[in-house]
Amino acid sequence: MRTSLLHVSSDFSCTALCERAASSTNRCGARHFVAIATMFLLIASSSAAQTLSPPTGNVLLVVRGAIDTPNVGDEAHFDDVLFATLPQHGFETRTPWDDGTQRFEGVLLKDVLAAAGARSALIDAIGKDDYRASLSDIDLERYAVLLAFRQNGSDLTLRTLGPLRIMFPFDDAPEFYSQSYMAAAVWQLVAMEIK
Amino acid sequence: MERLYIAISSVAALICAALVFYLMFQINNTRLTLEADGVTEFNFIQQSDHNFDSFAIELMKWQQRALIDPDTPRDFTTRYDILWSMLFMPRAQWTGSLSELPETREMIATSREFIIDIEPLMKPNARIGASDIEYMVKTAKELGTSVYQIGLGLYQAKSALRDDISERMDRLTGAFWFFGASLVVAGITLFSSLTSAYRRVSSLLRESSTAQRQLASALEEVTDGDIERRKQNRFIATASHDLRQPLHALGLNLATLRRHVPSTLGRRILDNASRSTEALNQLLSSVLDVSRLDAAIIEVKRSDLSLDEIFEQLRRTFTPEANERGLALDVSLSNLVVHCDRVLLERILANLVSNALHYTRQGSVSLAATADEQEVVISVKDTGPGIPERERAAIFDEYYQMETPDGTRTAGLGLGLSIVHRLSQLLDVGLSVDSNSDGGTRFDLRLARGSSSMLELPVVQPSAGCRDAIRFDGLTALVIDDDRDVREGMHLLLEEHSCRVMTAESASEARAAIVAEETIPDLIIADYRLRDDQTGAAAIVEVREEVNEDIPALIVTGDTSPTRLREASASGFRLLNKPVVPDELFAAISELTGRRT
Repeated sequence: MRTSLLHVSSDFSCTALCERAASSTNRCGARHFVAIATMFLLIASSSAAQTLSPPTGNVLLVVRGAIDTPNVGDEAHFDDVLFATLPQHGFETRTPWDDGTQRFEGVLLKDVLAAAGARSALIDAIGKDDYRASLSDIDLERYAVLLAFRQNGSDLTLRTLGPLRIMFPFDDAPEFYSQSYMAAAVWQLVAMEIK
Repeated sequence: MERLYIAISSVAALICAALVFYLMFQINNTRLTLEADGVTEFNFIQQSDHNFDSFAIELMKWQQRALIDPDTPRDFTTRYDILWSMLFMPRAQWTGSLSELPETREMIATSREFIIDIEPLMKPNARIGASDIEYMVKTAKELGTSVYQIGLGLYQAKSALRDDISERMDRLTGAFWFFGASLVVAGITLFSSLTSAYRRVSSLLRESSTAQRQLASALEEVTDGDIERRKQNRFIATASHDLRQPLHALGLNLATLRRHVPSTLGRRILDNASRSTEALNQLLSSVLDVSRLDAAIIEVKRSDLSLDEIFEQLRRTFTPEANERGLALDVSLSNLVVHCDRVLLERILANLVSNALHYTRQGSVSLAATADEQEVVISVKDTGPGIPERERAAIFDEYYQMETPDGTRTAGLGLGLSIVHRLSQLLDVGLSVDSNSDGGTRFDLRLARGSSSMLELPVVQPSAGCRDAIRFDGLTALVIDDDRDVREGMHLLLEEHSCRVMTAESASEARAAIVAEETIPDLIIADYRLRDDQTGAAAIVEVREEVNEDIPALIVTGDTSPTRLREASASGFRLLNKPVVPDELFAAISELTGRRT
């Protein structure tokens, strides 16, 4: 199911509400409804369009395409400072590639896209090794799809499949083990294109 | 039961079809899985190859740029890090089945060695010579190629497998359609054969029930006809029996009366009366004959007979009648001998002659015999109206009478020819009838020749005149009969012939009479049907027991029913039928007592 990301104010309490509404591992339908309701509420109360401050350090991620809040030309560049402004998130899960439970920390992908002002849900993720995968069929609202930069307390590097990595909470749903999800768990992420 | 078989086979067929379906479904799934599978490996192959290539390209680009600007950023290190992560990060899961291949493990091992080898050159300020670059580029390209080869091999293997499965799927689908079609054909054939079998069975059932019904009705008809006929015969037999008693008495009385009639006219009248009685007698005899034939109690005693004798007897018997009718009776003697039963043959010929006389208005009736080597043919010819062809078979039926020339009914019951027919069958002699178109009938009887050396001595028949001469002096006869007139008649007749007579109604009366008169009779003459359902045979036995002597006995019976005749015959006593011909009675008495005058 596609998520249409709407204009949401950068009201932290509101986003926190959203996060709390959606972050729970309980997949009750009522919670989903609450998330959507919150979003509608926020749309109603949205005021001026937000802006994104430009990066100051090493650019870790570039978001291009149909976005509303670019900060470098018509692209939204993110560095670790900008990532720090977004709500921090994390979870523990097993993965198809590692042994045992891993702890990942980062930001929610949907928050990043919201910050960039992505206008559509047609997203491509591009890795440093020129690998490209489509995230269009991923429900970013339903599950806590993470943009991870720490694994088991250590920062990710290129050699450890970082510095940014898309991670799914594999333990939460068995469908993550399908080809489409596993192909979308892009590591060594450098860019995202919004169509 | 059939339905059960049909049900079972249908279910079995359905199960087979379902199994085939299931198999196809599974195989298709495998094919799809196989198609989908390999994406992981393919990704890995693609990515690995690309990574090696990119590393080589970046190295070469840097080499170019570094000639101009030695501080060109070392972008190739990024590529190196990527390679490093590819080779050293645990990822068994995403190499998929590749990890099992020895080529993969070898490639990974070699690559790892290479990566570790060149790590020093990836340090920020490491000195990289042209040969280093050359080496790195060459090795990277080699490794990329090997990855590609692995991928190619895998792809081919997977494709081949997929194609194989597809082919199998196609074959299976073909087989399935064929199976389905043959199943349908088999089903239709089975169904149609069952239907036709069922139809055949039901038509057969219908036919058989129709046949059964027809058979049953035919049987009914026959039985009814049979029953009817038997009823008729029984009726006639009963009626005859009731008629016989008075006839018997009449005959006895007339015989006795003769002596007491002085005038010639009186005696002539008496003769007329006697003849009438005789005629009645004949009629009843023919009915008796039929009964006896029905009862099958007639014994055939064959012997060599002189035809001349028999013919002579017939002439004597029938000449009066022929004269009366104004017909000539021609009897030709032939000196021939036949082998046959005397009594029965006489009966046949008597019936034929009598019949001929009845149906001829004028002219003659002739009796003659001819012979060849083996057979004798006796012919009875008449100059009557003849028998039309269509009636020639019917004349031998019981009660059948042809129309006389003057339209009147003849005397008789129509049994004569039927008796002739049945007797001829019993004797196994050939009987045929022929007629001329202008009238005249001829009956032919074919018999076996006999040898003259074995001729039987003729039984002397006492003539009417001789009869009076028979005397039974000193003979005491016991007559047991429940009919008073018969008793009287017998009494008178026997007394005429000097016979002493004791009469009784029943066995007990007889015994009482014996005791009272203190006389043991020399002969017992008993009626078969006595009062209180006692049989004459039983009465005789009782009397014999009483006197403790085996007194000679004979039974006289008016019964014509076959059963009674059989019983009477089975009793072992000499049997005479009512109305008794006095001559026969005397002959029997003579035989039994050994007395004659």
